[in-house]
Amino acid sequence: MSVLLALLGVAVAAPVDVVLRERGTGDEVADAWVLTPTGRVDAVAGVVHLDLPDGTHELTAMTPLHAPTPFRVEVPRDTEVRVFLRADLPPLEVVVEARRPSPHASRQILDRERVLQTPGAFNDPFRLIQSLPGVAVTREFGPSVGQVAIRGAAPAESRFFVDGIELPYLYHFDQYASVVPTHSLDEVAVYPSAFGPAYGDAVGGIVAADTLPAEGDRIHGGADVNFIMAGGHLSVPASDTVTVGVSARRSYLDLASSSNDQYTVWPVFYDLTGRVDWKPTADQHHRIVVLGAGDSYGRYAGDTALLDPLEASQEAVFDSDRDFQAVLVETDFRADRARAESVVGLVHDGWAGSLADASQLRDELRVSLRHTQTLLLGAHELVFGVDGHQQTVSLDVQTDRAWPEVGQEAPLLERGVGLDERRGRLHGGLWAEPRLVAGPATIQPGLRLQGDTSVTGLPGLDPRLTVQLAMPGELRLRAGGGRYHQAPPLDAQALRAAAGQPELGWTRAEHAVLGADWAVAGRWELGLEGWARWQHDAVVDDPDDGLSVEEGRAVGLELTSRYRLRERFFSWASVSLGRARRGGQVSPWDQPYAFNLVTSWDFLPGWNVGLRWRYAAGTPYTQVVDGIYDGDQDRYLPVDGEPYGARMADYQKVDLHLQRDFDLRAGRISLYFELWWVPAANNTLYPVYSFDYSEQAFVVGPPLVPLLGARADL
Amino acid sequence: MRGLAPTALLLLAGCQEPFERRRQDLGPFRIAAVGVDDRGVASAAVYSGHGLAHAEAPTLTWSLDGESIGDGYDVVVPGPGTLSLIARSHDGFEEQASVTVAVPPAAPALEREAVALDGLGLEARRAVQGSPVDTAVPEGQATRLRLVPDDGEGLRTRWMTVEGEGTLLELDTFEADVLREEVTFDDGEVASREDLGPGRTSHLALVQDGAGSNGWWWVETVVGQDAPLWRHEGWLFEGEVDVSTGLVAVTLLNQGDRLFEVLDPAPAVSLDDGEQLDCAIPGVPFRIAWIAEGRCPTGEFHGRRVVVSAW
Repeated sequence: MSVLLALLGVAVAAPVDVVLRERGTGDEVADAWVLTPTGRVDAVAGVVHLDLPDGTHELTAMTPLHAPTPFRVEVPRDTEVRVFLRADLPPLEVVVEARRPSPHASRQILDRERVLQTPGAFNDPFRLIQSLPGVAVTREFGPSVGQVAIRGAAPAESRFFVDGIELPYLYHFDQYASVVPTHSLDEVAVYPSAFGPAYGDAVGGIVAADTLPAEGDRIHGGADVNFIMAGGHLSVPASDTVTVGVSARRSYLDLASSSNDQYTVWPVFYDLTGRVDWKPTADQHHRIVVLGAGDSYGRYAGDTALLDPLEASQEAVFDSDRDFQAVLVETDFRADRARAESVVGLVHDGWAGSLADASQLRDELRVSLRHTQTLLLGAHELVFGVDGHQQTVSLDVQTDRAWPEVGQEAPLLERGVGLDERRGRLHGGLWAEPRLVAGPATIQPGLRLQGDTSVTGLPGLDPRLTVQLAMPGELRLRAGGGRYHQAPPLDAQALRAAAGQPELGWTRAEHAVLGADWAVAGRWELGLEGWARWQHDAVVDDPDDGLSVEEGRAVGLELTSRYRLRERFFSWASVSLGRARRGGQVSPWDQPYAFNLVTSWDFLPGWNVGLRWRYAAGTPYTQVVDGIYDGDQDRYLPVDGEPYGARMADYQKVDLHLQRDFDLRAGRISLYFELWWVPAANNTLYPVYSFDYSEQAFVVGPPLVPLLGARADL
Repeated sequence: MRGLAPTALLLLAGCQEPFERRRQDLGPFRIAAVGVDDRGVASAAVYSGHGLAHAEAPTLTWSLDGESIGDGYDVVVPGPGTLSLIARSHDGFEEQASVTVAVPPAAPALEREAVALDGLGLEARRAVQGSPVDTAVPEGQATRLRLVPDDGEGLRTRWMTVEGEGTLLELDTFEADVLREEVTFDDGEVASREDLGPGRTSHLALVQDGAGSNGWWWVETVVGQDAPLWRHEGWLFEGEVDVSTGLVAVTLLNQGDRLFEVLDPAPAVSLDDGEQLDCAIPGVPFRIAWIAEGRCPTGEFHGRRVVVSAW
């Protein structure tokens, strides 16, 4: 029939559906159309319905944001036509971070885009924190690499939250990749000091990470592998309003080797996340987030490299096993004039370290609550909230001597103090903060009241103030200050009690910041911020001398520069100058100067190159100046020199990143290569000593590390 | 590599040049052992840093629980407590030590065997049976030293070797193999072996219970020596001498690589067959250990003839 009609010169139109999808993700494209010889036919929900006569047709699929994509259709046909469009390079959109409102006087933000393309960060937002101004630059591979010391404060004086709930530890082995993978995180905010009353129980800074909601109308998944670990993630829409997501990672080198001269059980770690997101309406978001991680290994307590075979075989073996599990239930409600965010978290942390005749078992259960209520009152806001946690810690330490060899991983064994104790505390805070807008000024007077059952004395009452002023010419001035209270750790209280010392009280601090941000020509951001912190009764933890409290102070100045074109280019640089003293001497986290430069450029479609350069003063350490022979044990006991009187060499590290993205029809594969370089003069990790402490040397890290990795998102 | 990050392990990173000093080596000036002897006297084995003799006696300053109790080698310990020692060499080195006052362990018997070792690993050496010897072992073989205490329960042995004379590899709590070789280990594996040929090695064996009960004995091994040897405590000396009386008169000289030599052995019947040195404990045979531990410096023994115990 059609032949007949064709012979008669009569065109017969046949229906053809053209499905338009994003190349690289498979997502539906918006505002698309198909250009035919007779004109434009718009897509409806990503599908263009055409009526075409039999034959071959040359058509073009188009959208405002994609490259025109010609395609050929043979008619008649029984199936739909699927056309994948490649996104054009994004428009040159300048991002000015300082324009984002912040409830805190001092803030740094890390988002996924910058994290993924910053060299040397293991795709890890928490690792990138140490490239922010005011955060101590630590030495890669060194024992303190994972410690986040903010503006001269000890790591334990800062708090680290994920969705408002504190996790037991941030990094695998306290050093390596963070326990929450990048693709599970949305962004990480750092409030280095003078933060508002929403946060308490901290005299240092705040790191607050938000997880990424599982969402989307189709199944998404991905995988990531490098030469240390591999993992994957999957997101599945269960209904129109419910999405389920899971992810897991595990290191795998233990599968190839079981032990060596240092490790009896090869280090292995894993982490996993699971979540269910329910969005019944546009104004409600409820979710359950499950997080878990585990780290374990066995190692010789001492250095077996120089021992003869019998000595090595008799060397004490230390087995470490730590894991945590967390369940977070979160709800967000939004109305015209109010917002409410709540989260309840249950976190269990199990930590075991054992030697043949000594062990440390620490078990912690923490139930946390955080609720924030925002009332919109015209241009003003009233924000108030409550937070608190019930914490129970069980300590069981069996040992008849101190084990300094395992102090890094088992601090209770390091002290050699036997303990069998269970302690608990209830900590709570109430706070309120009006956010008043008066012309170009935003004024936020805040007040926080917090109490803790483990601390004797009055509750802490903390007044805080943040003032921000928008000046002409994209200049913003910021100032903030306040008082801060932090309760001592339950472990510290237990150790003090075991030593017959009175229990510790609040650690207190006052913070002040004064800063300015200027968007030069609306695109290049310059920031200058001065800060100061005064601390009182700060807990000082010395394995030899026990726990004590001291006064401290720290001051600093930070200069930052940022330039960012969304999805094309970003660069930030910072210079941090600061001094920190504690107890009349240099603080262990004193870093007089630090310079950071991070830049990333998508120089061609599908290609990215990045550079990170860090240069910083070495942190102080206490040098061992002599040894005393212990005739009972035939070993030497160290004699310390001036506390923190020596300083590591300046540290610098250069990281290069080259990435190639391959867009598939419904996904993307990224291959990346990184090269890390630490010059020889800066490559010391930590000091070590000969058996009698007469010689000091430094363990040095690898000068050049090449890394290969692959990532797939489908 | 204490404290090295697991991250570093994961990346096979982190290294450090080995130190020049090892606990097992008697190299620089050092308090090698300290304790209370069976007379209740504070005692120490101080190594000179130069060889098995001291040009001048080190200065020993003793205190008990922080209270001074005297100087030198014959300080009686008045009671229990923590005994502390400051030892100063004549050339300016100073070392400190402390030990809990305790009764020393009884002297163990010493056995020697000749062993032909193929591998130096623990299991490989344990699989090799030795042949008992009284003194030297043939060239190419190692000496297996065995301390045999009356009651070894709770005791352990810490061996030290005069630097550059050979390598001692522990086999068990009271056993060790001595090679006339310089053996270097790297990460638990044998990195190099240098044959030192026939000769002598000197060791200090410290037996202790971990709570202050310390006893120590000097032990020598000889490889490839055909000449007859006689024994004084754990020492081996050249010469053919009748030791049936248990006493031998010898002449001590300050010469040679070890800074002293024992010459002209002759049977003795009493301590009167030798001289009484000022540095020596009166009424007992002279001990060569007093030379090695600093009690009798070279100026006091050079050219003097003393009576030592022998078998």
